[in-house]
Amino acid sequence: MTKRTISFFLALALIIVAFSAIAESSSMTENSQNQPGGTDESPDLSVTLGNLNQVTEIVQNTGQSPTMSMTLGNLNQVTGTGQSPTMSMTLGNLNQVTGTNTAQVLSPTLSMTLNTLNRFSATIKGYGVSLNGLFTIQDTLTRDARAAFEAIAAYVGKGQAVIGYFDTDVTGLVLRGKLAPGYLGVDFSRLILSEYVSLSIHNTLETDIDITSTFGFASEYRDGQPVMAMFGYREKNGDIVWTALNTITVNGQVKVDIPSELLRRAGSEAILGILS
Amino acid sequence: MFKRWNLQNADRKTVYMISLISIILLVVVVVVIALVAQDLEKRSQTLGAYGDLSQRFGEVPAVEYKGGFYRPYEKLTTILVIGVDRYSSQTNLGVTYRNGGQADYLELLVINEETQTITPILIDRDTMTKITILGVLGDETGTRVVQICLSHGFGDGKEQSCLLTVRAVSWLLNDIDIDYYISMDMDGIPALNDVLGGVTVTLEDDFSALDPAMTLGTTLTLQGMQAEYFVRGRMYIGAGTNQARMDRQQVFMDALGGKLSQRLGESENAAFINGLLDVLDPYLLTDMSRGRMINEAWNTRDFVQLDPLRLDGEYVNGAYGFKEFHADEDAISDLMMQVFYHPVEPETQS
Repeated sequence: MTKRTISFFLALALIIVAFSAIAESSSMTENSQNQPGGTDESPDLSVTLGNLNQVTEIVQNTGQSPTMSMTLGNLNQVTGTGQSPTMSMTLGNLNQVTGTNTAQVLSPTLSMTLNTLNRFSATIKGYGVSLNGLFTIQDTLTRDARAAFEAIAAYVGKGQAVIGYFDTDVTGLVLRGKLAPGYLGVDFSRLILSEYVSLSIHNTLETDIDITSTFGFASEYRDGQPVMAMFGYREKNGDIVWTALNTITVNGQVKVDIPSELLRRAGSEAILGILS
Repeated sequence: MFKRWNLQNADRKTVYMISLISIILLVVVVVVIALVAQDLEKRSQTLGAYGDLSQRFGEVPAVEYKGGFYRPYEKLTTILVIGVDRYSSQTNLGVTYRNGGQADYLELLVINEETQTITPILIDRDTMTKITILGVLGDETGTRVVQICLSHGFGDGKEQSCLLTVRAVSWLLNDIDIDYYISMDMDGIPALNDVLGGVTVTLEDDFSALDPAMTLGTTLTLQGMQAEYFVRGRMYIGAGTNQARMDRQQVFMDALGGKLSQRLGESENAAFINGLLDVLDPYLLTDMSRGRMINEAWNTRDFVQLDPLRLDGEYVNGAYGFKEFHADEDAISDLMMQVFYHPVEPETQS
């Protein structure tokens, strides 16, 4: 091969390298334009992320607002009607609220409030026998529930995953057959506390049958979404004990298996939190 | 004819070297040009993030709707007025992000500088639409379609709740931009009424269960709590429906608007508006600065307030017995075109 030929190929190689560099740089530019979140230059993306950040910031910075106000449910309790329209939820029951005190007349109880989004039904597990009189979901948190909630909020406020507050050994519970094996694949650090209510327990069951209860809340859940109910009750020593319960999603609601033994231990009051 | 070069070996070597250097230089130049071009391209994209000037100042393209061509008004200000079903004095604090109270009254004011008009759009609190759901610790857990009044129930009961309601109204009205919100607690109604000297209305329902003087057919100037009874009363009042209450609310707002215009027309306007805002301060929450509110009130004092618009749709009893208003989607689009767009001739469309 002559030097002339060598020089020609050398030059050709350099030209190819140069054009490759140009092509690559163009390609990178195109990719960065197409990739969501891949560039600072996308105005739409900036706006969207900005909005999201704004919401996040509000949530994070607001903390526990001291000026949070009452719900209609609270209002009715304060005015002493004794009839909680948001628990009963049907117009027929609302009509039992008689009299014409000012708060009742002004209160738009025919319309929805947030509490009226809460619903539940209960059956004996595996038999479908209705036990709808077993619980009621309270409009407001009991003192215990509120204190526990404030502790949870403070825990999460420190940037810790809410699951840590409940100190639940999921693997151990699965191995002991208390929780479904499917929970082993769940990243619990990503779960949030989406719902939290006080339950009044009206009947304790003397038998060892288990209850399956379906709860509907403001939050709607996707089919197959990882969810876990945490059932809390006060023990004799004053501590709130939390138990993780098998929970699945059904038509946007959660279906929770509650051992009757747990209800007996809880007595008349319990707390239900939903991690999702 | 042509001189044939007869290069010696040494000359050939020199020519090869020169050729090689030339080619290398050429390549270097090409690479430099490529890098410069890439840099320029990046810079042009950075500018693009802030908008292309030609797009920013160019004419907004017309849209075709039901056979006609429309272009959006460019000088619009939208203010969402929210009446919250809650008293500012309520101090029994909630701890979760579910204590905002319902948005009982929703009115979107569309101020059009081009037409010098103000168009109120009334939104029934029971309108079914997508709202943001917050978990009890404030995390967004998704959206769901429920009564729009519930949008305010989530959040901190203050700015966050208002912004959630703004978002819900925007979603309902085809993603329109809402510039500001003004939220007022219910006990602001008597205060607002009284500071304007009382609104005069004729009662088309019997309110005597609340106030003996408020009997059917009476024309009276509302004082103090009478204003709240008139605006909020629902159960045991007439048909007991939210629709009937909305009618009353509109009568009140119209009369209030008249009073307000009258007072604005008098001297010492700025002082009056300032005084009004002082009185309402405990009950109001807004993202408008006081100066902005005063300017808006002053600038629009001569604008024509058009008849309020409502969404067409139907009322049904929901699965659990609660009222639901299902707005007609086509009617929403019609309303949006009517208020936010103006027709253009086909030849002027872009």
